Amino acid sequence: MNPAGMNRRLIGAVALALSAVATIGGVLLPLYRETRTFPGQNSSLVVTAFGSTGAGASTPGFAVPLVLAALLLLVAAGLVFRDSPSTPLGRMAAIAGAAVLLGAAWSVYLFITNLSALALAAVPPGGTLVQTLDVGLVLLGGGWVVGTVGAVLVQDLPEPDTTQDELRERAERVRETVRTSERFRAPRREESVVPERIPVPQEARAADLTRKTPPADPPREEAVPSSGGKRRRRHALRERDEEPENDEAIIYQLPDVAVDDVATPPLGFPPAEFGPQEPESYGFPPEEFGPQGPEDEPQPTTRVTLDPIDPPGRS
Amino acid sequence: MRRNIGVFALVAGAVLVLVGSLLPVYRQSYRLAERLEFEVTAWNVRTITGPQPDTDEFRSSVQYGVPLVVAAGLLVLAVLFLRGRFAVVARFLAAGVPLMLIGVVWTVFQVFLRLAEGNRRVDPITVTTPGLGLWILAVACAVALAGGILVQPAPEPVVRAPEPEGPVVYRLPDAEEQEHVT
Repeated sequence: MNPAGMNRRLIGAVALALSAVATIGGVLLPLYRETRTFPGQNSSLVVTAFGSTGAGASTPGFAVPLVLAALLLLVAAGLVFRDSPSTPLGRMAAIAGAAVLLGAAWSVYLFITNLSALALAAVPPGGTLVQTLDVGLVLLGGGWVVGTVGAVLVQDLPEPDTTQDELRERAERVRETVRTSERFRAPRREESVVPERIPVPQEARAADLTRKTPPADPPREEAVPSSGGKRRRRHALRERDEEPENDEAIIYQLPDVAVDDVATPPLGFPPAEFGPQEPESYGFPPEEFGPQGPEDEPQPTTRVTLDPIDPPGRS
Repeated sequence: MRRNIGVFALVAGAVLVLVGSLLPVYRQSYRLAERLEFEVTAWNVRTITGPQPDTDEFRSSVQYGVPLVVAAGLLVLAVLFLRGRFAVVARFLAAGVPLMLIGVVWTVFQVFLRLAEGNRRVDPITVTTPGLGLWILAVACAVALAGGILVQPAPEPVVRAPEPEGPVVYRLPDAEEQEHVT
């Protein structure tokens, strides 16, 4: 995980722990307090999550679901604090704890407010009633907010995908290059994906085979027929599903591959933009028969010749 | 398949929650000078036998229906957005909302348990019996929880590259072959 994600997870773990502490505080501290003063008689009621003390209603014990939620949050905080194999379990526990806390605390709040509404309705004339929604209820609410934030923060949120942007940027760059450097015509956008058929005549192919290793090559432009550029352009306009002719090689020209075996790049991409041009052969392993070692290079007699009758290496 | 069952369970859970919130959660009968019977739903208190209240003093009950309806709505939202851009949020909701339901229903159950304590007296003044709504809400929790688990993506088994066995051999370029050629 990247450092930002790790920080997020640690902050989330701290928030989960805080929320667990707040929930426990809400369980232990009074939720609701009321004091009734009648002429000649006082009574008070304190409601906690374990029940109520004093005169009035006997309230149920809400502690069990609340304590369960607090335990879940605490376990989640412990599990997600370190990036370990049990971190996914901690993420689930964080969601579970925050959700149980939401349901239970909301219901408790509804119960308490209903209790206070009933007390307000039942107060006789002449008496006074002082009601307080106490610290426990506030702690439960605050604990839920902090716990939910923590549960969201510790999740393994998907990072924004930048690879698509990068590809789009590259395609845009290629298009720019095509527009500026095409000599004869500006190609339309669809043409850059049409597979192109480059004719490779038989003699040129045979010459190609023998031309690989020696560094002192005749310039390549001589071997390629001069009409190649024109023919290639004509073929590029053909339909895709047409049957290929026998003497043609089908080359699917991808936009970012450096084209180095023809004189003019077919779509005008300068190969240097996409990194250094690869050499045709590294000299090892030897692709051709004949002496290839570096100590043989300076001797002109060890060069590969084009003589088909006496091929080098056989004599 | 698994996902479709999960979606169905989430929707069924939402429907069951709505139905359960309308049905009586528990019934109370008071043995006073005159017989009184109440039905308590998640929204109000209905008087079955006894004098109908002329004021709305006792009509209000704890409004458990509010969180229940919110939970049902969130379940439906989770189902609607399960496919699409907000799938992550929807799965988050599908996992969390059933647990929120459990929190609410558990609290309601605690209230019922406290009231039902009065049944154990030798001569009970009030007798509290559970209603159909309580059971339906409990079933809704289980169904929604199962749905929330089923719509989560199945954990893919961790595939590890096999450990290389045997001695490590570094192949060096053979110099003798080149000499042979010469």
